Amino acid sequence: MNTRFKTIVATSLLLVVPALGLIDLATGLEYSFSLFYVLPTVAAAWYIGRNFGIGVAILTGLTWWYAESAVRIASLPASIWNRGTRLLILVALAFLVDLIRRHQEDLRRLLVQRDEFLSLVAHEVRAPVSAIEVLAAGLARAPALGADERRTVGQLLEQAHGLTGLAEDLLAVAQLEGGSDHLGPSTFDLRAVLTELCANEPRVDCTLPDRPIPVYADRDKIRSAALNVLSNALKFSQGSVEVEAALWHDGRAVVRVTDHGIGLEPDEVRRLFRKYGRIRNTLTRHIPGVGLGLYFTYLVMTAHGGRVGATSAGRGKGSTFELELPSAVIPGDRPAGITPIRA
Amino acid sequence: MPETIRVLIVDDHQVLAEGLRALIATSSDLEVVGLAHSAAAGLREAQTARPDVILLDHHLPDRAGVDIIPELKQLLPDTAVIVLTSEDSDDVLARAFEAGAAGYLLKTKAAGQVIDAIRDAAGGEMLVSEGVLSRLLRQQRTRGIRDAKAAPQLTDRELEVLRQIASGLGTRAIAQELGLTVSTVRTYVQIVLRKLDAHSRLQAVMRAHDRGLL
Repeated sequence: MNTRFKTIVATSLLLVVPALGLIDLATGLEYSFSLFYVLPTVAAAWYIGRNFGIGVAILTGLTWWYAESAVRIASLPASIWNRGTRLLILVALAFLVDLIRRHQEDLRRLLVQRDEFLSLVAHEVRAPVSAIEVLAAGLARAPALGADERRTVGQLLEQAHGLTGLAEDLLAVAQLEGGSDHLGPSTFDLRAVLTELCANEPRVDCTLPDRPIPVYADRDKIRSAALNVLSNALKFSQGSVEVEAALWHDGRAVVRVTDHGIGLEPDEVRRLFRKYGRIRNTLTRHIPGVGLGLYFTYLVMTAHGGRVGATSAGRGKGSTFELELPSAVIPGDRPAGITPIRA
Repeated sequence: MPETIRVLIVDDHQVLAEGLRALIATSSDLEVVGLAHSAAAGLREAQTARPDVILLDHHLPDRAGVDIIPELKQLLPDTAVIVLTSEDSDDVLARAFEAGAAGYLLKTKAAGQVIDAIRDAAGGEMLVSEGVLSRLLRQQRTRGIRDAKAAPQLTDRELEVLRQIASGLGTRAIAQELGLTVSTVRTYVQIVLRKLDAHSRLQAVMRAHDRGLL
């Protein structure tokens, strides 16, 4: 938090506390008003720190004391006990809020350190894993291999490929979290990208419009985002996967991917697009993944001013994912086809 | 394109370099003519082996890979240089393309893409995706880099070919798009490269963009 912001908060709080006392005096001490005396201490300890929080707690306690003494008549010991405990409660509150703030900062720092460490590991493992992958790829093409050896080399290649994929995902996510500077937007036809993705997978049933869907976006990243959703649908279902796309009259380009697989519970839909938000249960345990793909898709779509959402009728009833992007043009008519859904 | 494409590998990661050599050796139309583990050795090998394509690592112990591209292009103007990188850092890519590299190849993609990349580069194709190219051109514009040289006169057809290159199309796709033969497109590409004083299609796109032609 910058110094200017802290100065503004500190000055405001020092003005707010006597103002509270004046209002308290003028309105005649309603019990509900007591809540307002708590707020400056909480704000001071949260935004500025413990010492300033204690200072504001003491100032507030004394203001409260004065405002009450001007109106209420009480016996002296009761009055001292009553006001003294309030003062102590306010000081304790300053300590408590400051403690929570420190813990939250520590947690945030730890998360940053975790991400930095993972990026560093991903960065460092890329070269040796790439070497393993290259060696295995060379070996896989050797003509003298027997069936067993060929299978072993294939497994080696697959595992190395999985590791480089994981490293790339971690680095791509870190890059996008750092901002949208790494986007290279251009105008391209989203329909062509989907056609290419659908062509590579026999289980996909693609329904695309006759006309192009021009969008202004980073082609590679949008392709990866759509591929993540499609791969997910294929991973978590056995049967066919339907891909539909349309350009809407309001300028939105919408892609919908529907599978008839394991489906999602409502709380799982909420977790799905979070970092490492992989759903873990008996149905998904055997399927590899760490929960970065859909988070990457979420980052890509939001960086482009779009959105991604998911719906499901429940466990075993399949899922529908929807990607939405602002289009490069707004067509005059509304193409027949898919109806928008909201996650 | 030559019948056998002669390849030089310059990479200080010896295991990766050996792996690339083994992988490339499995294709009968490719031949590894040298292996170097430093920039100085790479320059020496390039001079003696005269390869068609050089796979050049960026992180070399003595000099940065992209820094020796101008010297390599001066020695061997017709040799295509592919930069091998661990990450698609904009700074490295911009320097590589401006120096005349045909493109870049991520090491993590090398196992699956190196053979096609070498064939494409030897055929004069540009090895960069539309997204990366667009990002680099945008950054070039943001940084306000401007080439002082005046824009050369290009005919409508040459401009058309240049625009197709900039949109990421290869020779065959351009020929299909413009209804020309592949060899006619190659001739146009050569003329555009000469007029823009460029060593590669990528460099031509960067220069054309710089001089307001795109």
